[in-house]
Amino acid sequence: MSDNYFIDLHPFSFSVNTALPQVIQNLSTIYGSRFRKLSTEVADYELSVQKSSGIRSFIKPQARFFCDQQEPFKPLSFQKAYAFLEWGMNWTVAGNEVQHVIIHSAVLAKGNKAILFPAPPGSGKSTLTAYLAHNGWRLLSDEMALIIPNTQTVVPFVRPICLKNQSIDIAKTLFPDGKFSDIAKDTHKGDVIHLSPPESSWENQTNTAELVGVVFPNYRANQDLQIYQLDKTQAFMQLVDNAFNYSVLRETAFSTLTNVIENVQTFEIFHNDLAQVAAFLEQEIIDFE
Amino acid sequence: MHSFSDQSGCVFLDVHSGETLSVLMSEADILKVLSGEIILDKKTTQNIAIRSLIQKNILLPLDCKNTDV
Amino acid sequence: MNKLSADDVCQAFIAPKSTLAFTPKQWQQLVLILRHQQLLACYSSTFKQAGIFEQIPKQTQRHFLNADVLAQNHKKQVVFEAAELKRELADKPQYLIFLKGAGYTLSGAPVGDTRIYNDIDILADKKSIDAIEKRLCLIGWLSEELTEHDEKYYRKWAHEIPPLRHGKRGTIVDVHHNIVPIISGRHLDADKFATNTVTTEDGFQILSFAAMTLHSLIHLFFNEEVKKGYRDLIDLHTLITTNNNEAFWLDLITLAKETDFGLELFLACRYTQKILKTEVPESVQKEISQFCPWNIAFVDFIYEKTLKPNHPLCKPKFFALAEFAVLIRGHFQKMPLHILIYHLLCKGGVSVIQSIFGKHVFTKELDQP
Repeated sequence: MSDNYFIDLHPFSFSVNTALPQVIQNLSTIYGSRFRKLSTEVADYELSVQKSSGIRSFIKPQARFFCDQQEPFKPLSFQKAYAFLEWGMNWTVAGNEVQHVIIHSAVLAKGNKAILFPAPPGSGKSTLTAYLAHNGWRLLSDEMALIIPNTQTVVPFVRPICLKNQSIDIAKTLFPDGKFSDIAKDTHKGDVIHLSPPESSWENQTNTAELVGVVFPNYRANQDLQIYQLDKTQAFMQLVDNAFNYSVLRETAFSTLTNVIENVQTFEIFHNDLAQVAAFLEQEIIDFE
Repeated sequence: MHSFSDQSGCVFLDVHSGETLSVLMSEADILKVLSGEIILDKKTTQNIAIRSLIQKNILLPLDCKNTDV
Repeated sequence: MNKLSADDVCQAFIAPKSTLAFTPKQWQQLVLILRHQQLLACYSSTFKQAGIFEQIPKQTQRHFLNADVLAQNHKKQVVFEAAELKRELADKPQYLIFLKGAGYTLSGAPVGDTRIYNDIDILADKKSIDAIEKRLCLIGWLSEELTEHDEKYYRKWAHEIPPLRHGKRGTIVDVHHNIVPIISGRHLDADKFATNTVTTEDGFQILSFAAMTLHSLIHLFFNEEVKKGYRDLIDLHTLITTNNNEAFWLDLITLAKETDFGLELFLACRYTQKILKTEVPESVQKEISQFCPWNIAFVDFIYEKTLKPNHPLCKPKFFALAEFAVLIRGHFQKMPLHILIYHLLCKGGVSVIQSIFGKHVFTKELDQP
């Protein structure tokens, strides 16, 4: 029998209806006390993950994701059910929430100073995110940066870090105590695992931070740290490319992002050493001024 | 329109289509191009960007002032 | 805690203050039902006009505010696309009329204020359709892949060509050459109908409010599906309420008689009154009572159920049966029996069952801009 669960993920909340033990178990690993049986809570969105019905499900079971009555994606193979739910949550927020300018980007902060790391898949962004989150930084988000319109303020939307392919082994070695989900194999992004950020990130789930930098990271196995200051026009256009709801918010998003870019430092970095990157970020961006 | 303080360029929001366009030139230089003071090589990206902005009625060439209309 | 009923949702529209007694859970249900019906922004505006928006729980307010922004954006996008179409097709057809949702939006009237829809419908004279399709194809609007049967059906029997989707922006355009299918044998003289138009301030051709209302009610009652029935009923309510004057009714009744859609007009007035307490002048009610069908009890049974908000949370008893009756009624109206049987056989039992029971039927909504 399927049950209703509640996930409290400031500033949004979800109810999840599912009967799949693997989904329940992974949610519990990743979200800890923020995941519980639904009682009187009122969730923003009603999601569900179900096993597909019919004869096919005996031969090759599939998982289906619903946001209320809507089924935005085609069913995926059963073992990806939890990852499917995570992407479904992203889709739900990206499609419905327009009170913030939302950038496809990681956000990490020291104190209340935050840096955006927008980057395409394969750039090593999530490995860097995981490293920083375990080394004195707090994670505000791995995938979605919520910026309050016409400010430089980022609202945390703490979620697990999504690691792919070879990063999975690296992360398991680097963070032996980390809370990892099961591996979802052969997704459109390759093999995928979710890693819960450390408790300190969760504890500060409701504390906003001010943007001081935008950094586009690129991992290159054979390259020592190289840093380029990005000019503001290029940095702006790259942010626009990574904004989820830019086309909906139009003027608001335009003025918010031009304001952010005017007031922060913008860099592109190439690296093969996470510790060096962390040192650079702290010295040149966080301690700057 | 926003002109960045580092003079790296200007960005434009087309309010009709919602599209964002950029020109990697300072506002002062763009004005010079529009008035004909600077002539850009046809193949440069700046030229292409400015022409597309003119086509979309976001920028207007300044030589209109010579006409009697 | 009481579950919200479909009637509660209607009541919230008719008398917004009734919502002030809602529990947070009931508000949550209202949001779910309204999002499903694409009516969040519509209710948001109703609550604002009633002056009670601030009394809505903060968490719920956010959902309405989100919907406001999405609806505003939708409007801008439609105006942009309509301008593109108008410009690109300027020299092609004799007339180019924006229908349904796009028509509502471009009219600037309350009916288009918060309306969200998936495609832009245009009506043009039949002779120009080929030229229009070719022109649109050149500038990026391409027809989506259809099964051979669907393609044939569209071309031969329908009142429109297959939908065209813009390759880059994803917008969908439906080009019609009539407002009802040829196949129904009831198709009206489209060129004549197209004379009932006005030109907006921005130069778009749309139907006059009377013709717009007639088209809206034909679309609702001369159709085999009512998935968005409640939303369509609210359109009719808004059109009637904001145009409630003698000239409008005279035009509407005349037009309905000319085109032989008196029955549909009767049904529209009947159910807006029953479900949304729409005011219809007594003289009008008298005049259209001649169109009351013999099987009104049956028609009441199906429409009183299917035109109310439709969500698993608040589905009335026998809803599926009523929906099925609408499907059959709609198909019978539109197609001679032998073609209907052929159509249903080709479509396969599966898709008919799906259209009744709703499996995967919502995937199309992804197309929403």
